[in-house]
Amino acid sequence: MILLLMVVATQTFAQITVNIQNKPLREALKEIERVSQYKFFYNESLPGLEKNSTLRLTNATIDAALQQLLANANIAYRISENNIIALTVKEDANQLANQAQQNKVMITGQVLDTNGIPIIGANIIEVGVPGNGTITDYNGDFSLNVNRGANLKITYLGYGDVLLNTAGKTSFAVVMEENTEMLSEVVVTALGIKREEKALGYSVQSVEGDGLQTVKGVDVGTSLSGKVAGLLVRNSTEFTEAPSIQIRGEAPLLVIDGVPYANMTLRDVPSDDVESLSVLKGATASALYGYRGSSGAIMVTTKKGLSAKGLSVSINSGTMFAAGYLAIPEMQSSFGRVVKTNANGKQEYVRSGDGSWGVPLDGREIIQWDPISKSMQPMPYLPIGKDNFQNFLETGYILNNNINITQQGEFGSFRTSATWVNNKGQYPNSTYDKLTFGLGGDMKIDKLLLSASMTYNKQTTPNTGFRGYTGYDPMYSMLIWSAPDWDVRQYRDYWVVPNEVQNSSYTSTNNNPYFDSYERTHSQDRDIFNGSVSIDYDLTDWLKATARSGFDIYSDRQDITVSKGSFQGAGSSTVLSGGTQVWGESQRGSFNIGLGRGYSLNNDLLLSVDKSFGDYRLEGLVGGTIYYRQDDGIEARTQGGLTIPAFYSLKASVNPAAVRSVMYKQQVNSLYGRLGFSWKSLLYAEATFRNDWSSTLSEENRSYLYPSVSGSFIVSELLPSYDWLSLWKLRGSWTSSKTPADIYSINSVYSITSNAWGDLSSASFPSSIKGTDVLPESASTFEVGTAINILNNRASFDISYYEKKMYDFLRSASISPASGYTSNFVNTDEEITRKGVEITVGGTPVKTKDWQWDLSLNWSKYARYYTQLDSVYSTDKPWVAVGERVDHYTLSDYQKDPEGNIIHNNGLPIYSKYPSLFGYADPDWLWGINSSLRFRDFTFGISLDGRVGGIAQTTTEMYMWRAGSHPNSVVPERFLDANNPGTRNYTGEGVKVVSGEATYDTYGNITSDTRTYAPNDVAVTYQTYINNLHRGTAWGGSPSTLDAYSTTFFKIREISLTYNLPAALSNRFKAKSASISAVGQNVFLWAKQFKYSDPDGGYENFSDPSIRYLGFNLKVVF
Amino acid sequence: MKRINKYIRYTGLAVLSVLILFGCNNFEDINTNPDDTTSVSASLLATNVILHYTKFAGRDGKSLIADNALPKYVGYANEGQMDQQYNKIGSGYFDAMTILPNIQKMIEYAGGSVMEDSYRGVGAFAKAYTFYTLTVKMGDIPYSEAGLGAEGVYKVKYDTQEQVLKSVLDELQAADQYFAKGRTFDGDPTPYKGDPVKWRKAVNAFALKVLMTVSKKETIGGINLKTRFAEIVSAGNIMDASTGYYGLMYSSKNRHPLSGTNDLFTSRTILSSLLVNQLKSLNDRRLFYYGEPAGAKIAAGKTPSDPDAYEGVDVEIEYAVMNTGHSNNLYSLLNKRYLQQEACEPLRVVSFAEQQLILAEAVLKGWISGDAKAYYESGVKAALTDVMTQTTASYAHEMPITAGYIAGYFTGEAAFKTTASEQLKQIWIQRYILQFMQDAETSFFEYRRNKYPEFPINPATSLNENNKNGIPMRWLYPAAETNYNRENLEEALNRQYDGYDEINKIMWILK
Repeated sequence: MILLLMVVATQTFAQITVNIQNKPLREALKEIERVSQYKFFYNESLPGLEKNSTLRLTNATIDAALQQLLANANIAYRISENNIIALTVKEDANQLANQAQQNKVMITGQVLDTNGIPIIGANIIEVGVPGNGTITDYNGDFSLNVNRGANLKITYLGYGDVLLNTAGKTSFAVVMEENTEMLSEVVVTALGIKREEKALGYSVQSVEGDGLQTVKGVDVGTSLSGKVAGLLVRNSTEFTEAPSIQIRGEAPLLVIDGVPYANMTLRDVPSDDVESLSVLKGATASALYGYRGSSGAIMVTTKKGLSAKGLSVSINSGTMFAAGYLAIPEMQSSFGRVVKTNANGKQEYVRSGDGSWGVPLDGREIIQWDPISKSMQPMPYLPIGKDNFQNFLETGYILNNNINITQQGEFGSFRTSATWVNNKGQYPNSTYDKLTFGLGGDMKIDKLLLSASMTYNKQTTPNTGFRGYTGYDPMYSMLIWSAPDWDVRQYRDYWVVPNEVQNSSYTSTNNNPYFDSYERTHSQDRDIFNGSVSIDYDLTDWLKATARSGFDIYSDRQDITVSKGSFQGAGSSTVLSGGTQVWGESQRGSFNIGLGRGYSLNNDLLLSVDKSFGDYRLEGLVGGTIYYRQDDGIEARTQGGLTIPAFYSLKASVNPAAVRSVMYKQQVNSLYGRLGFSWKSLLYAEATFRNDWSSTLSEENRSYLYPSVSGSFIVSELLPSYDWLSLWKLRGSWTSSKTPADIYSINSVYSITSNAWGDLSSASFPSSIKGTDVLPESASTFEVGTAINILNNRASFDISYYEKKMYDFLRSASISPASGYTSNFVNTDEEITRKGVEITVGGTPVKTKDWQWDLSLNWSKYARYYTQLDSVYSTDKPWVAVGERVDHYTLSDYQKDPEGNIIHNNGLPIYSKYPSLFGYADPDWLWGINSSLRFRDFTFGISLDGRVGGIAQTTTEMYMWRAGSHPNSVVPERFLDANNPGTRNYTGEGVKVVSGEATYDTYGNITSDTRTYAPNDVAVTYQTYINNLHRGTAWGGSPSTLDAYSTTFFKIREISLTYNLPAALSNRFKAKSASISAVGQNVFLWAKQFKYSDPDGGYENFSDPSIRYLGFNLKVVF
Repeated sequence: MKRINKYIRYTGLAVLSVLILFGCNNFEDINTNPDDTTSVSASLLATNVILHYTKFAGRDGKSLIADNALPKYVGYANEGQMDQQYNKIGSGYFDAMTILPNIQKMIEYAGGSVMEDSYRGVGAFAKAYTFYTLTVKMGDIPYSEAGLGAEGVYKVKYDTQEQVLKSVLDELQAADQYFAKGRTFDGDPTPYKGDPVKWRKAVNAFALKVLMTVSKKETIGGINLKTRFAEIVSAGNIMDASTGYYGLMYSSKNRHPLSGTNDLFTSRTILSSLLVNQLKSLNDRRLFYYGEPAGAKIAAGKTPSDPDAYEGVDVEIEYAVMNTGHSNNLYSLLNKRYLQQEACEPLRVVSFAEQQLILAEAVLKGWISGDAKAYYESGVKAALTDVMTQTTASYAHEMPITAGYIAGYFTGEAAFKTTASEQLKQIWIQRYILQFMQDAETSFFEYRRNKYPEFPINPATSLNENNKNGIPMRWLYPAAETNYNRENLEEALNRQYDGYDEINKIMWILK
């Protein structure tokens, strides 16, 4: 901000300082363009352009400069508001006289587009008279002296040519139409090959970088939500958790500037560095990437040089603050914890932390922990902590600042970019910093194009926190096993004995939340460095060689420290990717450190051909890639506690520290080729092949071929030309993709456990049978689609249908452990087919000079079906059958009578012993709407997206029920139970068995049933009932049907209101352009069943409250 | 320019081809994990094999408590009703059978070495122990085709319980012979430290236990139980007081499953009145080692060393009532040493004490001749001595077991009675007390055989929906068998249980 003000202060009025000595006028104009923001438009035939001129001025206005420069030339000028200066031939009296003599006539006119907006700079030439022409000015007006009855040709980039016969008329209104062909989009495809979208036989969708740079969260991935049909972005609400991205249900490959790095993620790409994103949706689109691209790819093109020579400085600053929550758990405030009679016969509450199944919070006197005096004191028992969770939360924010400087010279460009993202989470001590520094440039010398870039990323957080039930999330101790009878605000002083005994209302299970945030921490420090160099050399005008080398290297340090006196360890958390879960070690304290590092190399060499023979065009390439990656890491954990409290070092380990190292290596060599063919702009066909050799397969099977074919047919070229039809294209593609085994997965090795008992180590034989002769997994994908653009591309429609048949699955297929093994690593005969449809509709319903409304909608659906089963390895269940969906969500339902009533035993609902089908885990369909509305300099943008269907367990609510914390658990029966200990007051709705018995076969079908029923009349306590009704755990196993929710929801993902400063205003501080926006992210949520947490993350296990972010964004380009 | 063209073209292609060639040769190395090995030793495998069936197999402290809730040692007033306390049993698992390839590999590595016989003995015992435990839980199980996955047998046929048990007895006999020839071997995590003499004794003691467990039968697969039992005893290679237990010692490195916990899962484990009352009536000081005095009794003026300060819970009462009682400090909790100490007591899998009590019963059954009283007393003395020597007396509420106390134990209710039926009950109750927080499943198997000690049953709280007045009799078959081995499972179910896998069905040994 300070920097910005300085810039504004020094750059005031646009005044020109030039020194031109005896140079052609053409050069002088270029010089003025260079030192000012003005651009000249003129016809190349303008007389006097080559005439030498001289101009010396200091801090002059543009008018002064032009008057001096053009004084002796026969040229008039006109300056428009957007700094465009149109030069035309001056018409003077002498000239008019001459014209009359020469039988000439002056033609005037105005050129407009189909919306009535003037076209500036359109070329008008007199046909057959070389050198006679002009261009339109700011109002679209032109005038030109022509021979009587001459023909004029009017041209403008992107518009169809217009021919005009001037016979008998001197004034014309010309309407130019946009040229569909000229506008056809260029997209980046595999290996960075740029191609016209209409030539593609597969589905690719682009997202422009501009759309990602106004509302900037931590991750650019979040901004992709709902923007691309078939792209599912699951945004977790957990602090620092990156969104998970799937294309057509699978995780895509990330390619940055042509390099498929192994360790880079979208998190490492600042949104301000993105020029465009190209989503290659299927295996065909990314066939040239081999197995790594078998699930599609996201191709990021980063910003490079400028379109014109010069220097540009761009500053983009985004600030967003938490402004409320879309979903946050609430807690009942009527009941406290269990109260016992203490040794003195007084009422004292139990401090072991087991929820709120105790006495009503009615002000009765109870001996309680007083956090101020740090002793037990009699106090009235009241719901003083009903807002504990909200009171504990802090205001989060996201700052996302970028400055980048680009210099474009004649032979190349250089760009440097620095980004700082600072995210404050909602819990104390949760901050996250991300620094990115990037350099890139290119050089073009003759036939050689050299480009290089490198990026350094640093991401740090002192405490990323702990997640989920099994990680002991803060919610675990505040909302679940807690009661609203203590006020968290009194617990900021969290020590009783520093570093040893915490000041907590509880003596087990529930940490003081402040203690938990500061003394049980998981810090992360990650550095990633990546770079690439690429050389293109034009061997001939049709043959090009490209060499490209990319590498990335990361190092990652994670520490988990747990203070002595903590009631929880680190649970399922790990300090190394794929490392050991840090269980236990609570109370005694523990220190855990993980160091991970790794790198990947990707070297490509390509030769590409592009040659046309008349209407035929042939493109092709051959190339090879060597890809190598290596990850290694070491982790160490103290054992048996810390010898000195708060001494967080491996040296503090009571028993010898547990140490483990890992190393993963893989190399894949590839040869590939591509052949593209097109005829006119009617027919496009393409075939690719790729052969990989992967180190992870046995010698016999490590080589595999990966072919693809695709084609596109432009139907509209064959049809008579209709006004309304701009483009109609049919496309189709097929590929057979392969995925080799994972690293080491074919190796049959013993696992060694050191110190398995005492000092003895042990070795165990693998419990999986390893077949070394396994083949790579295969899939064959076909896709068909059509795209229609109508009304001069004002509206477009695109639909794709695809089927991906996956077979030869490499599975550790479960087998009966009676075989001595729990699984068999084989290619199973099971075959699964994913079928999907994607539809994109876009349009510009309104487009006038002042108004423009753009709208795009996308909708997609996919599901996986069994298309063949394996007689040995497929699960023998009714829902595993040909034609059934693969993502079945099964659980053990309540036992029910023929009328559907829940059967009770001793007053409690009983469950079936057999799992049954409850629904499907994947969403049924996804949708997104993106719209922007521009009025003059104001633009309002909104994006919405949602999912329909898909089942997920609500772990939070299930545990809130079971702990008695759920707001809906405050019922009259519970008061009766609490006030009359030993009584049972809740009678569940349903039936009980009076006599008889049912028997079942092994599928769970009833084989005989003699049961007779009566209404359930056995009362139990509400607590017991609820605990049986909401069965399920966070440890695996299925929930009860009540806690399996539909994840249907929709969200207003982003809104923004941008004001683009008019040039006159931004010129005042020497800026080329400037804009200011009010922005919001994660603005509104509607969910069908999830009320207390956000289902966006796709699963629900103590999801942190979903934060609404509002803020502003400032963007200035100099 | 031409030259540069060529230069780029040829160098690039040359580099690429060289790298590819080089890379391919290197592939085996690349795909080898330096942190794994393809070659080990018999001793490393032996450690794994022994731990596989000896070590407590449950996930955590809670599963140890659940094991003890089924035979009514404890009630559980924590997070929710514990199924086992209210007579509900779930599914068993066959995962223990993955020990078979490990045994095979251990014997392969041992081949030709002086320790080969010992490792064969370990293998035979491990196999016998594993399959015995599985069959007495579920009934018919895979045996003859088990462990042949590497040969392609994935759908494994079930053998009858009789066939399995016969094989178990054969394996135990074989183990006895291997250890007879064996030398001290490496890799033994038990206190025996590879001593084949002690192993042999433990194997035979365990064989006696197996025979007694199936005592409802006369013969198994042609083996006369009585004869086999007598043969083992007369051969004399059974445990004596100096053999010590077969099991594992806990330490700071290998902590007791409950050690260091005091949480939602373990902090409210209440002793059952069944156990407490028996201990009280026997004037047995193990009471003070097993439990804590009830808070309400202390508040009422009792001292922790007074047996009357101890109160168990009737484990069939309603969960909510038990919880209220717990809140009011009415009950004795599990002794604190279990949660606080790293090694509160060792895990005794086969013990001299248990063997002596089994011998006492065998005398009463007429399987062997001898003095039932002497066996009874030596068994109980051994049990008390184990507690005296292997636990920390400071947790015993000033009522430690001493040599003097042991010498005076056999008075009152503890004195060996006169009628055989009373004597049997005394033996059984001592076996019951012996297994508290040890091999609790054995006490459940003993209950199935003897219906003693009598477990409290309350149809109003029972979760055993098909037989509210009874204790369930078996574990269900593994759920995974219906996914991957259904035909063989169904055959076994049809053979034994009318095709219906249910917990109240009666298996062959109980018929």
